[in-house]
Amino acid sequence: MGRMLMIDLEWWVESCLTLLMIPYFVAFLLYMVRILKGPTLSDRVLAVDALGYDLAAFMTVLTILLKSPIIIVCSVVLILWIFSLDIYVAKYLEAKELGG
Amino acid sequence: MDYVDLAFVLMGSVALLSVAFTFLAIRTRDLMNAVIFSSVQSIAYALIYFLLMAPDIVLVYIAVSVGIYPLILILLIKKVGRLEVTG
Repeated sequence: MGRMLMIDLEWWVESCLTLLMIPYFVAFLLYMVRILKGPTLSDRVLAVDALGYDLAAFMTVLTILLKSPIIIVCSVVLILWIFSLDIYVAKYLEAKELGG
Repeated sequence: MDYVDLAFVLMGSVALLSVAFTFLAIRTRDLMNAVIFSSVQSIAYALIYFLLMAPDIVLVYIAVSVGIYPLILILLIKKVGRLEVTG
């Protein structure tokens, strides 16, 4: 009974995450297109922000696949610092004093 | 399945992408767009360091190259002007 219900959990997790990498690659390509041909500066900054957030989620997936949990701190730091670029460019576009 | 090959393929493709964005950052005449392209190149290098299993380098590199370096460049662009004048 118990032997029949044994599920190879590692194989399922790895397969699902490997399939889930495909939407991430498609999203990265779309962000690259928007960065290359964004008409205004705001489009480009927003595309870079979204790319950073998606890359942090993708780093989490890679952390599970590569089986090295120490690496997960990089994604948190990337999320927190990619937001600062947004603030700098917004301050520049509003012509205010940076840092004040 | 071994994911080391996938990591190397990702590293190679991201390195090619960073070369393309570095070329764009050099060639563009709008300096704010140059800052944006340079930050994309920085994010690509951060992913390469991440795949090389060096989280301490990633922590410092993201803080410097996505946080402090665009701040200094944007402060400079506020003083100098946004469009690069050739000639």
